[in-house]
This record gives sequence, structure tokens and C-alpha cells, in this order.
Amino acid sequence: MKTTIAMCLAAIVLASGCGTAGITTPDGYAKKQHWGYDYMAVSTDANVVSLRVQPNEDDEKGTLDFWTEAARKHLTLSRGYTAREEGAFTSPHGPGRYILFTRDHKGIEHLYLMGLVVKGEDIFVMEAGGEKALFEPDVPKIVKAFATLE
Amino acid sequence: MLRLLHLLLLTCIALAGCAAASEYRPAGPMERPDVTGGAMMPMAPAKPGAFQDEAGEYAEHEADKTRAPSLAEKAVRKSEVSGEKGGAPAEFERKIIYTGWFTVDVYDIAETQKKLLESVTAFGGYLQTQSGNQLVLRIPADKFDAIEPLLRKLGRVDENLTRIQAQDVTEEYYDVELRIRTKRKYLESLHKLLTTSGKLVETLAVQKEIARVVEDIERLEGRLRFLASQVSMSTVTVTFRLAHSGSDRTFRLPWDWLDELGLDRLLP
Repeated sequence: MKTTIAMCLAAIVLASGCGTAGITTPDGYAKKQHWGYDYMAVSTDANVVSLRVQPNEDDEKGTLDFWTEAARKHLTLSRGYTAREEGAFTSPHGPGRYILFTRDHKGIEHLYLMGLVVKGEDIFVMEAGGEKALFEPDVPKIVKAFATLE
Repeated sequence: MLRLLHLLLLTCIALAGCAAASEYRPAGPMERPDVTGGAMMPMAPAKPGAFQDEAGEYAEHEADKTRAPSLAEKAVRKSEVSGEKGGAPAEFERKIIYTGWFTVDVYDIAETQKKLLESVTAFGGYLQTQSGNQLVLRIPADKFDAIEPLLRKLGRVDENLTRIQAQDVTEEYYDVELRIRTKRKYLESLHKLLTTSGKLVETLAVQKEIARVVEDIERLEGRLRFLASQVSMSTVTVTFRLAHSGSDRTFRLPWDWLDELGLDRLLP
């Protein structure tokens, strides 16, 4: 009985482990548990890097290009963001795209970096942001971290 | 009757002589037929002053912009290009004038302009003009490539309104340079001539020509300075626009997770 329970627990742990997405924590950041996110890390400058997985359901399945364009338009046309830079990366889950936005947040100019990878029924949404002056130097290493998506 | 025959004979001889005198003979470039004696004589100068033969036909130097260079000038050019300086012609350094136009969306125009000017000054550049939200900057040509990344750091560069122009002025630059040297040599010869010419009319003509050549040299030197300045310092025009907040738009897509994107949820 004990063996069966132990095996069941192990199976549950393994199953949950397999389903958790993550990225390599960039230098200067520390992981932090946060509800609603599969992964989050914060720097001493209060820059935040996060990851969550959204369903790419059958009836609304979109490609990487589709979701990148949808996110860009949503953020720029209805949320006041300005797209400043765009690029691509390759992760173990396939190709990804990122867009760097600018916007005021609480009266201070901020940068917001969004990365997307689409694989089957999952949309891996990676976000990062912080005060422009503090966040800007970290952008290259965060894009590199996006590329480590597993 | 006999007198009549003599008269006829004399008329025939006279006509034959006239025909001989007017017989076609091709003349050389500096010769003309002497109707008095039939021999070829050197052609007299068309204008006063012996300097014409020494330094070329000065009348041709009028309207310098449109005319082809005089033979004297050509000769000087030829000698300078082909060997008097010694050896093969030197490799010409390309002379390119770089000009750029950028439009950048920013949140705080005054602050961004201040930051940009600080960076441009650090590059060794300077502000040429400021008009409203537009700055015209002069930056060292070797720093021209750095301006766009710099602007991208300061705001959003509108790609549709970005324009870069590279104008190759190599040919004009070296042509102007050579024309200055040629004219200086010509000027030297005019000064020498001034000391040897004796007649007042010749002296006045030489002085007039010297004044004209000096004016030409000054004009060409001005052009050369302008080209050199344009080549060494690129001109960059930056227009700043206030970034649109977008908050007045009603655009919305029907996926709730898109609403969860952004700084408001991500940052504390």
C-alpha cells in the first residue's frame, strides 16, 4: 500500500514537473514565486522577468506571427505602448519573437519586453519590464534568457 | 592690229598672274597667306600683350564655370597628374557627404533633445540649428553610424520617415582642388609677365586678368572648404514628436490573456 501511494505521489510530482515551463534565470536576478505565473525573477533594480503559458485553443489557434501581431496591436492601439524594437530568437521549443515597448508607468518612462513562443496548443508568454534607465542594459541578457525556454 | 594683239597678250598674262596669286594653298595654324608677296608669315596676335602665347589664350578663361579648361590649364593638370609630382597617381580618398533625416517619438521632447545634444557633443558634434521640435546637428562623419542606435535609445524611430543619403563628391572635390592649383600656376605666370610687360595697355590687361584669376581662386577655395566641411561633418536632422498614448482608442481583441499583458500586472 505504502509503495503504491509512494508511486502515485512520484507520478504526480513527475507529471507536474513535466508541465512546468521555465527559463534560465538571468545574471543579477533571483527567482520568486508569484501566483499566476509559471516563472518569475526579480533584480535588485526591481526589474521583473516572467513566464506563463496560455492555451492556443483549437478554435482560435494562431501562429507565432498571428499572436505577435495581436499582442503588438493590442498593446499599442489600446494600451498606450509604443513598439521600439523587434527581433527573433530560437528556443528549444522553437522560434520565438520579441518586441520591446516603451510606456509611462506611474509617471516614469518604462520599458516592457514581451517574448512569444508558440508550440502546439501552448503559447509561452514571456514578459519583462522595469524603469527605462535601469532596465535597458538588461535587455540583451533577458532576450538570451527567453531563448532558454524549456 | 599689232597693238591690239599686244594688248590681248598683256591681258592674258595679267589674268594668269592673278590666278596664280589666288591659287589655294592650305595655311598652317599660325600662318596666313601674305597677299603682297605670296609668302607665309606668322599670324599677328589678335589681342595686345605677348603673354597670350606664354600662358594661353586668356580670353578663354572668361566664364570659367561653363567652358572647358584652357590648353594651358590642361597642360598643367596633365603634368601634375602624370608625373611631375613623381611616381604613379596617388589613390584618391573617397569623399562622401552623409546626410540623415530621422523622426523620433518621445515622451518628453525637451528632455530628450537635451540628452541627444549631450551625446552629440560627446561625439565631437554640435547643434547647427533648432527650430521648434526639429534639431539640425553636425556630427563627425565617422560617428554617423552611431546616430541611429543613439536615437533608438532615446525613443521610437519612425522607419517610414527615416532617410539616409550618401553623396559621392570625390570627383568634384579633386577637380576643384586641381583647378585651384592650375589657376595658382597661371597666376604665377601672370605675375612674371607683369614685371616684363612694358606697354601700359599690356600692363592693364595683365592686371585685369590677375584680378579675375584671384577671384576665381577664392571662389574655388570657398567651394573646396564647403565640400571638405560637408564631408568631414555629416548633417543629421532629427524631428521629435510627442509619443501617442493610444489610450483614447477603443481597439480591442477578444482574447482575455492579452489584457493581462503589460507593466500594470507585471510590476508591483
